[in-house]
Amino acid sequence: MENILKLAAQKADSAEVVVMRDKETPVFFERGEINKISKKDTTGVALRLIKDGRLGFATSTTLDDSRLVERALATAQFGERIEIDFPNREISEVESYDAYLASLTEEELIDDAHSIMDRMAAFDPSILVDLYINQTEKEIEIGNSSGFRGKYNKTNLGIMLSTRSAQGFREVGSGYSSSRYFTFPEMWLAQLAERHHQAQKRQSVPTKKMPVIFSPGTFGTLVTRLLAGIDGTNLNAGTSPLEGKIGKKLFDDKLSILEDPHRTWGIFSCPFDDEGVPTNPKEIIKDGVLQSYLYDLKSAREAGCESTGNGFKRGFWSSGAGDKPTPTPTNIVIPGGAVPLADMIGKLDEGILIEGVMGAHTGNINAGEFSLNINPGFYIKDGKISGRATDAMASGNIYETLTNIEAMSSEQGLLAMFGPIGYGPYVLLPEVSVTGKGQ
Amino acid sequence: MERTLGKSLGQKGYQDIRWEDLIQTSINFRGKELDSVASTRERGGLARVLSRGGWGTFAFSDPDNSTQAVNKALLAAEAIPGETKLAETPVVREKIAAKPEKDPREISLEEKKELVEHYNQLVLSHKGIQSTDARYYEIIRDKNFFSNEGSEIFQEQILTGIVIRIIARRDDVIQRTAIALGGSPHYNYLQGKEEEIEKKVKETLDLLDAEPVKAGSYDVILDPECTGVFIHEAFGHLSESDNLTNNPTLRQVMVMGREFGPSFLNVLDDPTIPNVPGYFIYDDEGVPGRKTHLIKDGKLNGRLHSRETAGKLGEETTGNCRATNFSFAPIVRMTTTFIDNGPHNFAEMLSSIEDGLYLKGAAGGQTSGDYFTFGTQIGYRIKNGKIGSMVRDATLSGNLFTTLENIEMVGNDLDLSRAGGCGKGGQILLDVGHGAPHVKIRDMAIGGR
Repeated sequence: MENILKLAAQKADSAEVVVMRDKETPVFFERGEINKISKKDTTGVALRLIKDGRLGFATSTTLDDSRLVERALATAQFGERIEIDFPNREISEVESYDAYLASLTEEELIDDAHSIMDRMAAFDPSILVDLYINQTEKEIEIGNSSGFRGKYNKTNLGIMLSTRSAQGFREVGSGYSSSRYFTFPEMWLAQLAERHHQAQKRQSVPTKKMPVIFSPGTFGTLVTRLLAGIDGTNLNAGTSPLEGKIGKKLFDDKLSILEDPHRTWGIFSCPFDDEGVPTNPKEIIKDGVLQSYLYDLKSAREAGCESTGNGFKRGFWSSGAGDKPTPTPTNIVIPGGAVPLADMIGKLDEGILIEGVMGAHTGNINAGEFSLNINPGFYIKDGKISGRATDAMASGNIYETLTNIEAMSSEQGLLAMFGPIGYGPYVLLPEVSVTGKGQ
Repeated sequence: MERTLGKSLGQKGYQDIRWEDLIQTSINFRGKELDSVASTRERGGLARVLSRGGWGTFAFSDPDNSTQAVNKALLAAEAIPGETKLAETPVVREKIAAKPEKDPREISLEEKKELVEHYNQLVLSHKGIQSTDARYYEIIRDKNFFSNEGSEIFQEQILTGIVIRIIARRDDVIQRTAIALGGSPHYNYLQGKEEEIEKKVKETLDLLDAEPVKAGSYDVILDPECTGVFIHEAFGHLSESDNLTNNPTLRQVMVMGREFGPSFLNVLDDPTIPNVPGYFIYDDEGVPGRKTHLIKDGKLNGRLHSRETAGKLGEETTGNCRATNFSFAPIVRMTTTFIDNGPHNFAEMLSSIEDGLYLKGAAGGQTSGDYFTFGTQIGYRIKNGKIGSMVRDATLSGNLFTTLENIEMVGNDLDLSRAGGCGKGGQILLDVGHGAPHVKIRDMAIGGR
């Protein structure tokens, strides 16, 4: 790294090197049997440099790439005009590396998976699950010509399991992910078995507005629409509906959203972002009122403010050294309420519990639109789950739908949009447009 | 150096190693500003071993680690009990060069920048356009494949294109569409596209006045782009045989000859069609790609295989085992999947609909196997056989078995898309092609307010 920085400093005005090393051991099981282990140990190197006010960018998979500086300089000739200063600020410690988790061998991961499947069999031996367990270890190192040198390590354990329908398609699923080693909770296995049984009855649903409970895993899809609105790049381009809305009440009082990069063992916890800017926790929504936007160095400069420490090389579709940093949240945290999920379901005459969605990435996301295939979801009638809702969609616009939140659950789970994005409760929305094929 | 990688392979079970050198160039405008110019290079490999019941694989980026990678893949493979036999494939020693009509590598970065800037300005010159996201991309892949059966394959692949996202705004109404150009090795396919872009700009501006679609069931006409995504999601993924190998009940459903749709429905997957993103000669386990007729005259006729799935099901290989890049083990994927021309035409479709929708432009889709969903960019009401006012935010979903049965007409104007990215098993944005003629489908569920 020092060599690249030195060479870049001779030929450019300022420079930054990011090195990301990824180790991964995912093990796949189908219907209770192991069928694949796909390990990984790769390195990504990214160089940004500024010459004559223009940015150059090049990447490699090794620090020994002799032409890295040259290629970055070539792009700088035509590069974007930019006026950012690479930072050199104090950073704090954040807990995100679990040495025990990092030490686990693939045999131990396989043993863990078998133990989960054995415990699942205790609930119902006839259910054969598909299971995925993945241990990852990342090392992120950043150096720049302002003198900043930073490095942190991060572990993660991800476990996902799902069951199959009588026809052989995915029925219901469950999963968790953490920086620290965990034992898959008994309660979630019990719930997975229960949902699997409830799903055996298919239930068509009517087309009308009705109460809908979004699970944490599916509420993340709605939150993602809001996050597009507070993205500094979208704000600068005038493509966010939230321009000038700081301090305005946008949502129901019950909704508060934090962005917390320092959460202990959080999935995205880290001391600094991928541009070396220290991270810090902030409120995004407090009691329904918009509090802050997210910026990286570039969008902050354009907006005339400071980076919020949210410049990460991580998007919907790819992440790694080769990506350029964009305003990206770390751990999204939505505090829950006081109502247990069972009580939420119990008091509904009619409604749907959505446990999974398809189409989270489609439609006019920036404008807050969503139109989701419910998969899987459960039809609720007279306070009870009456079967798996099939051929059903839930649609709306978050800037209307989230102005009215009936309740938040006391249970917390992982908020997700394809992968996890943070932590939150089940959310009961009293009036959501549902399209179905039933009467 | 790459040529010596084959020496890292051992003799236990089946072993192969892929090494890829990937150079990507991108030029990105956002609004009137040049947002980024980047030249990225990634090199790396993946070792695979099948010694017992399943694959052990190891991805690495340091070429000096290739022998260690093979050993680690072997160790992982040994932990998987059972016995899996791969389908046979010929041993191949071949070197394949890309043959661009106009080679993007011979065009200066400045000229590429000027082209995308020109299109970007064309879009921005229209009143009501709030912003753009216009991106030139170029991917040069040098792929090397070695197996311990003796195959040595060197393939060069070039993909170049321009994608322009167009964002229109009036007060609080923000609408967006996208247009894709190129998606082939030929730089000249990107030039002279002003008319196509102007048309899309106009449609985007018109969307500002469109009403959100109302929830319900509609008879729809889908344009080739929408239909392409529909058939990719609704049937293509189900054709991937890794769904079947450990799935006795689904095998009962996917019996050859089973009727899936009307007699004029033909669905194919074909990596040999040049100039679209799903094109290649050999897949990522060295099997030659070939055309597979998935649905023939309405009946199930074929499916997509890796050597593993073909071996397990006792069928022939099709060359559909692909990886997004070196860091992933290849799995069964589509190439260019399309509905072939049928006996109907657009005018017939239109006049057959009293009250329905005409939907254009794809905006992403997804499937769970039996259910699928996909978004569209632009919609028009159809009243009494005539195209009427514009609607927006139409997302379709349905059960694939009933929806295929509900296909009432297949047009004769097959068109293949110029961009396609598919995600499966954590491997996202694999280049695929898709396409179709216009089709008419009865009674499709559309989400709305």
